[in-house]
Amino acid sequence: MAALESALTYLAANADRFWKALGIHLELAAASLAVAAAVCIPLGIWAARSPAAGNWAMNVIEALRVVPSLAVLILVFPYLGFGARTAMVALSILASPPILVNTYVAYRNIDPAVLEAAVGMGMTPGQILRWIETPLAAPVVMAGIRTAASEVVASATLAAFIGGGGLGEFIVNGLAMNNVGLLLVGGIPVALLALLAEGLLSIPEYVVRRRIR
Amino acid sequence: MTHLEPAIVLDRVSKTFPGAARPAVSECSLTVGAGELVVLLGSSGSGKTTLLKMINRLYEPTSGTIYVNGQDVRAVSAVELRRRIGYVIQQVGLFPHQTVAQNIATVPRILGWDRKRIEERCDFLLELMQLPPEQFRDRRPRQLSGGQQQRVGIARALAADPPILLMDEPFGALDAITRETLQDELLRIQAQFQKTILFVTHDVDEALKLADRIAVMKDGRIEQVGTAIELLHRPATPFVRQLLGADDWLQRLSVVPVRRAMNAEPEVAAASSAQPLPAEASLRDALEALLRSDLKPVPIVDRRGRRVGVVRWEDVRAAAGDPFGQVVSP
Ligand SMILES: Nc1ncnc2c1ncn2[C@@H]1O[C@H](COP(=O)(O)OP(=O)(O)OP(=O)(O)O)[C@@H](O)[C@H]1O
Ligand SMILES: [Mg+2]
Repeated sequence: MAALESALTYLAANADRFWKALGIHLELAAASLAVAAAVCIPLGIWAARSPAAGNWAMNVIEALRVVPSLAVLILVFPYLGFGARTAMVALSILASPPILVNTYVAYRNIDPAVLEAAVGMGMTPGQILRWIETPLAAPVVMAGIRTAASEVVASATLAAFIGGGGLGEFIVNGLAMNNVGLLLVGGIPVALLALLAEGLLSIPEYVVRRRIR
Repeated sequence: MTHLEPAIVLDRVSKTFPGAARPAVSECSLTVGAGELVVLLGSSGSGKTTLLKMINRLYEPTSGTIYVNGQDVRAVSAVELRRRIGYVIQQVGLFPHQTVAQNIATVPRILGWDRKRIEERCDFLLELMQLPPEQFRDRRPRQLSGGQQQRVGIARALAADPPILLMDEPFGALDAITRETLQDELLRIQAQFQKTILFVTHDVDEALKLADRIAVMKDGRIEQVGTAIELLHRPATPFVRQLLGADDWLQRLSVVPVRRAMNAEPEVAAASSAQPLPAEASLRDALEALLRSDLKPVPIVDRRGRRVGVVRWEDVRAAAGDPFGQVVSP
């Protein structure tokens, strides 16, 4: 209880710092997520088109998923040094597997009869991608983005270890100063954000899913 | 029918799938005249679907040439070709995320029709398929029964009014009654709009009822091509004889429309004193009428009541595959 109280006291006194850290945290998470999506969605679609290579690649990625986020950060760090950029690269890598795997699975699992009908009626590959495949794959792709989002929001905490800022700063400082209150100033919002990301992103997913089934 | 200019010509077409021991389609030649309804009849795995899919280039033949409206299909872009050929696939394949109306609008939308024209066309086709537009337009495929889905699939294939239709077992999932209604509907559409139709089925009765001509397939080959009556009368191979069930000739007669055996002799029809038959009646009905008229020629009347021709005892007897000869030779 005392810890919570001291957290609130700190928050009241350092509101500016808190909001700034929150902003950086969200920015970092959103940017990483956007980069991962921009790279992995096209990659996943492409992989779904080349069955042999696709399957092989997905198995490798599934295996790599067990590498913890801290390890990714440590692996990237020697090459890119301190700062938000390094954190973003690490977080993008972290966000990639769920998006990539879900995109691959979603585009792979479209009913072949539906595709045959589309081709047979004279749709071009581009029209099939836009009008048929993407709307049908959307819910699963979005589920991947949702999983990635909550992982990234939580892992963005680690950015502070390499000077990338964000809510992780409070945690790093709290640990260093053995100050549980300060720890909570970072920890509670991060936990809430992860839940929020999960919850908010499930809304559009639900909407597209309902349109299909 | 066959004297019309050919809409589809298959010239010694073969297809061997990669890694397959035997060709799925082997040296098939077939000509479908404009406005003709030809049925590909054969058991499962005989290559009917494969043959059909080569016409709209879903598969490329291993050898041989296919012409559509006189043009080698490889000479035009596959996409352009497919937009001119209505295609009803065996598994229906409606787009699950689109409404019935959007499904039907697929090709018109690609072709850039304006919205009003698309809507009108869509409602017209739903009516044609006996699906009240107000009720079905905005439904999703999952809200339809199997038979309703098949009907939407047919409407979708007809949407841009293609002169040629490829239909792969389009009535497979239907109960007997709906099936018959739609068969009648298809015959009506074909007669009214002069569609060229290549229709796949493994149902012999359906083939006998619908076909101007039937191509019987077995193991990737076309065993025989001919009218229902030719096939029943002179099966080229034991397989054709067995498939058409020459033994069950009375049943066969009850599905072949009498107009297929009709002689276009209006003067004879006008002079006949026998009770006339509608053109849609079956050969079995004709047999009955002949027996009642003491085997005198029976006049046939069209939908408007005009006497267009006659059917004679020999015609029905020929269609029966000469059953009385068969009894003697075991
Ligand atoms: N895409 C494919 N790849 C490999 N083999 C195939 C393919 N499609 C069909 N075949 C084979 O070709 C043969 C003919 O198949 P096809 O689908 O044309 O038969 P069908 O007459 O349409 O049968 P059904 O009445 O069951 O639909 C079969 O032996 C089948 O296994
Ligand atoms: Mg088939």
